[in-house]
Amino acid sequence: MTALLSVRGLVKRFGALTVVDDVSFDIAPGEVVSIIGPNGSGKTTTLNLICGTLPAASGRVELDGVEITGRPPYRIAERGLTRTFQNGRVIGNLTVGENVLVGLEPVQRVGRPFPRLRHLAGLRWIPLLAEVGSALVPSRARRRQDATDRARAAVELQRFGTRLAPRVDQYAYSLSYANRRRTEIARALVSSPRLLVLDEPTAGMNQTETAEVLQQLLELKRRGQTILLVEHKLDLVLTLSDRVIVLDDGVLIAEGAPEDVRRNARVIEAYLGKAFAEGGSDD
Amino acid sequence: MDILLAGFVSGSTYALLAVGVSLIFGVSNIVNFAHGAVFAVGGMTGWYLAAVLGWPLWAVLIGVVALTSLLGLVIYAVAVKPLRAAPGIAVLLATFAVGIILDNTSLRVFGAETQRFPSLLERSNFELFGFRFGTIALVIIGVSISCVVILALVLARTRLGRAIRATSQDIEAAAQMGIAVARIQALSFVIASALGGVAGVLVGMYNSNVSPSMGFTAGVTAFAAATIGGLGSLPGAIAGGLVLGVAEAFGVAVGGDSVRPLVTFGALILVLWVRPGGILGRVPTIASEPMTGTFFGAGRPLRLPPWGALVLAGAGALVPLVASDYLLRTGALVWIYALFALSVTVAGGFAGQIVLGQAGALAIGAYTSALLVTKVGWSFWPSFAAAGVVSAIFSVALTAATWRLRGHYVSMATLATGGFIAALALNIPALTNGARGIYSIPRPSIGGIVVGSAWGMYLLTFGILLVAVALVSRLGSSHLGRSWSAVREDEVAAAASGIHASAYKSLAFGLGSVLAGFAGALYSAQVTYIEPAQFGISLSVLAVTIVILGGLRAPMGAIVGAIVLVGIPELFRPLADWRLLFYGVTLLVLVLVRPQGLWSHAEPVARVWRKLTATRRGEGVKA
Amino acid sequence: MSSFRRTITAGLAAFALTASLAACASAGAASDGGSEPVRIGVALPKTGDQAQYGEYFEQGLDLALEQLNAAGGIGGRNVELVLEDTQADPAQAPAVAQKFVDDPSILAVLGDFGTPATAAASPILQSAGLVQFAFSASASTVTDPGDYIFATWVSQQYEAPRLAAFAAEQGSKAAVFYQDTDWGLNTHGFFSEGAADAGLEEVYQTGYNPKSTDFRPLLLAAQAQNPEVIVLISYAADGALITAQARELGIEVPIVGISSIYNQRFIELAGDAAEGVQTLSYFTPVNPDERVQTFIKDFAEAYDIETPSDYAVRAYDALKVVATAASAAAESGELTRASLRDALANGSDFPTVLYGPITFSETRRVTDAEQYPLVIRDGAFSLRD
Repeated sequence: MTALLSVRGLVKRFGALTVVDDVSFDIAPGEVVSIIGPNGSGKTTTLNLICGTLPAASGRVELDGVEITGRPPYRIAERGLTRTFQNGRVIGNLTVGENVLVGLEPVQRVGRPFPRLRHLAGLRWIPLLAEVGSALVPSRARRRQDATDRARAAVELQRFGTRLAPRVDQYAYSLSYANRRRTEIARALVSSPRLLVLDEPTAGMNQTETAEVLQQLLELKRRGQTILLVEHKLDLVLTLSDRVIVLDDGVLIAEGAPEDVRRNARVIEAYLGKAFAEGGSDD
Repeated sequence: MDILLAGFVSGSTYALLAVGVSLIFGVSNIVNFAHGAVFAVGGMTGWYLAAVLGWPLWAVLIGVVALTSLLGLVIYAVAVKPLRAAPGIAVLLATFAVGIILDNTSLRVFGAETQRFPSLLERSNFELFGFRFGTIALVIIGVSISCVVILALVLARTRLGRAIRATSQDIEAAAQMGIAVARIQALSFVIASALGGVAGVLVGMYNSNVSPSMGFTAGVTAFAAATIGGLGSLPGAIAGGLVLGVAEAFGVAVGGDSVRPLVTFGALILVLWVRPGGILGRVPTIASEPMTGTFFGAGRPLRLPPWGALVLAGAGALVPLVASDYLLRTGALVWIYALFALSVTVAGGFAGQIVLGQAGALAIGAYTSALLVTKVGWSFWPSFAAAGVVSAIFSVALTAATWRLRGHYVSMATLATGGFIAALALNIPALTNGARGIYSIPRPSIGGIVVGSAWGMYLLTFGILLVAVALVSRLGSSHLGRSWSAVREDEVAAAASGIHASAYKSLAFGLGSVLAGFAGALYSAQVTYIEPAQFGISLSVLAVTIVILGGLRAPMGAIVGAIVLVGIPELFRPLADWRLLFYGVTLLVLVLVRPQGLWSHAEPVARVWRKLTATRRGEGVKA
Repeated sequence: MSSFRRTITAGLAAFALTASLAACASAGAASDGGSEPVRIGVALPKTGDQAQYGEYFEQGLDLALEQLNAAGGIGGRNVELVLEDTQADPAQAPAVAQKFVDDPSILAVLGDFGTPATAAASPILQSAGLVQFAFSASASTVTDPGDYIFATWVSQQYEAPRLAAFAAEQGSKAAVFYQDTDWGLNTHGFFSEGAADAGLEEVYQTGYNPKSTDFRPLLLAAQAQNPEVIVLISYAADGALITAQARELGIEVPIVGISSIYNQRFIELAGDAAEGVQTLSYFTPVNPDERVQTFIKDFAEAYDIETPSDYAVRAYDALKVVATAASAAAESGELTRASLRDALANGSDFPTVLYGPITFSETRRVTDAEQYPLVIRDGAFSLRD
């Protein structure tokens, strides 16, 4: 079956240092793929390259057959790829509800006239000004859409039970760290993305919070959401992932089912050094 | 080729100043807008020591260096150190405020008059290779070269120099290596200010004149030179200074004196468009630019309930019943400035772009409507509308390439744009009447009635302001407000959420420029005479100060700020001497103590700021 | 305090502030004659870039004021001056003008410095019927706004061609430097017209920013055209800089300046380079006219300054002329804003130090007056020949 995400030969250099070295892999629809590796192995950089946050030196990324390499992140989001960040980047001066509504931007149609002109320099002013007009004088269709959006956002918040829903009108900067991360995930999910990219979604969370997130991700997986994530917590990775990719020093050193990767000698060597590798594996 | 030499000489003084700017920037990521003032103080002190006390040259230089070094330390302690954790724009404004304070204190101490700088050297001319040299030109080039060489040696050979270089490469890493970063930064201010003082004395000798107002233009030129060469790069600063000096010399020889600001700002804009890193520098690629607009917009603006807004609007409209004509004319001016400042609210408060050149948009609006009314015979409303549209088109076109930049590069680019527009107004007399200005701009004629009376203008400006405020509020609470908040606070997250950051920044700026254009039309009808000199940088900074004082995030902030900063000084005319000083001190205090402005909740910004930055710590390009 | 109460308080405070300020501002002294002083408003730059000119104004005004009151004032009433700072800024001038208009005790307004600030105030003063006595505005259009505007500065249309003829005495090819301001541009316009008639060729001409400090590129460009004389349409400070830098570059040709360089500061700032510079001035201390000599003596006594500035003289004359007209108006009836205006328009031979006796023309201007050729010798202005 055709891959949802196809990555070929990604390379990224910082000066003389090659941080991502010829990384290639595929993700099938409905799959959950995790990227793991020791610190400094290029995991987040790979994500950044795929999501357009950083430009790649060379390589090709395709989403559902359409090339997205080198495209600006907002265009990639419009194509159905959303992400979260390592530190949970919520917009502090917006409420929880507003943060989630922002997540609907990639798929907004009403009130965003002339969508195809938006990407042309100069001409993009036509849709922009029309958008201003729509914001100043909302049509009935617009008002209905706003209501639908709010309902959709509420549904998304429900996913987190009582954590976020009662706080929908609280400013994000006043939330706890874990709630901020949840808000960010909600924002990424509300547009029903084809591919959800998560960068260490449980970083900084305690065991209970991590377990909650795991449950939510499993639920998403059950509903067919394709997910690509970077994680350090190996048990979460092993429980959740269909496939695991291991990077070391920017190089993809192993790929496969969680169980296989876990016993892979090179992987163990990368994490723990040669001594351990020689000790325990049976090929 | 004498022109080339003249360019080199003035260029080497620019280079001296630019080196100071780049040194500070490299080490602390700060643009020091007080630099020009230090230069002027150096020149004036040099005059005082030489002319009044009769010291010889070497003593004068030592004295000036001692004073300006100390001044540099003071600037660091007052305007920079307390704002260590704040974004660059805060320090930029704080140093600007300090510059104003220094300039005006110098004015009070030394008097406003230009003073003759005694020639402390034998003046003789000699010819070499067809260049005519004066001793003083040689001395300037010589001293500049020696300063730079000494600095370069210090940087390359001494431990201190290594520490400075390390800090300018990576502040965090340097701190972790045990370098006392704060001390290095203070030192950079001291060195830069010392160089500035020396430049002041040299320029004084070269021109045989000094005046307390020589600092402002010099500061802007230094800053442009440093940017052209590459902010943070010392060789770049020298290159930039020389390039600018020579370009100006040739430009002036060919196009006349008024071309000078055109060259300075034009070159700056060009560099920021084509190669923002400058000739020899680099723009940082890492996308962790702090949230500039959020520092000033942190905390929530006060929410005005609808009936509250009605009450205030009603009170404002009833003022003509009780006030004198003088008060009403002042009031009209206040509302015009509020409308003008509203443009900064939209661009800065909503979208987080602290724009420093709005006087340009105001100028375009003023000239457009003035010309349409006086030369083409349009009536008020069409020319008013045209003023807004033309202003927006030009402003957006000139800044189109800017929005992919971040943080204070945006501020600098808008500053250059504003200066460029004012310089343009001076240099196309066929259209704008140049320095002559446009006279006898008629009062607005609405429906056949001339609205010339004080209460008429008052109500007109108040009415337009109310409509603008209503529209801006509506925009702020719409989905656009959300998108702008996202862009303002975290461009990366916004982009990842499908928001085209550059387009929305540009949109906010464009809408703001429309408002500034409208304000310009009203301004020209109010003062009935406009000339390019009225639309300088100070006016742009006034707009920003108004909004910072009042509160960046809500339109009410622009109104509150305008009342305080324009209305009150106007009514306290006897204290006019102190007006600029008051303004500088206000700005400084605001930035240091209450950057979220008056019209906001009292929640300490420090707490909000910490929370906002907590999510950002550690983000970089690690794997 | 809740947001509600905060808003109400804010609204009330604003209103109260407005009302009280309104009350203060409109409380003006009633001028119904008797022993109430005659108040005259003055718009001038007390602060800002042009502050030094404001200082000169005050020197002349204070001297005239003292003398007036010592001699009994106007119609037996004391004279009072109300000074307001405009910074010579056309954006601020209207507000000040409005302030004067609102105060019924103000019978005339003197000032401002420079045509822009003056012109910005004219519409307000004209429509309110308050005399604007523009003694420091030189554009030919100054009195156009209406019949309440008077100007004493002889229009550039007379002075500039005279300067051209004066320069033509030094050579037939001129390099002309003029301020890129309203004043400079207008003056240069008239100069060019006069130059043709005087047989003077402008081989180089350039406007410059009065705040410039480096004229070398311009001077070098001028030198390349081999001029025989340099003409300065400048004020004292910038003129001095151009002069000094010209000499430094080795440019030795004669330098001729317009009357505004007649100022001790020119000599101070140009230093040795000022030697030999020539100008045409309406005012010179060596004018044997008794009125001039008395003025110089009084001025020296009051301020210890040997050479009064042009601007001080003009300010002195302005107050004296207005006072004379006011006395005439008071004598023949009631002294009001309107009667003062009429007295100025219809009177004749008002005494001045600068021009001698003057009468205002149809357009309420002083048409023309004699100028003296001066040259700088040994660090001072002296009569040429």
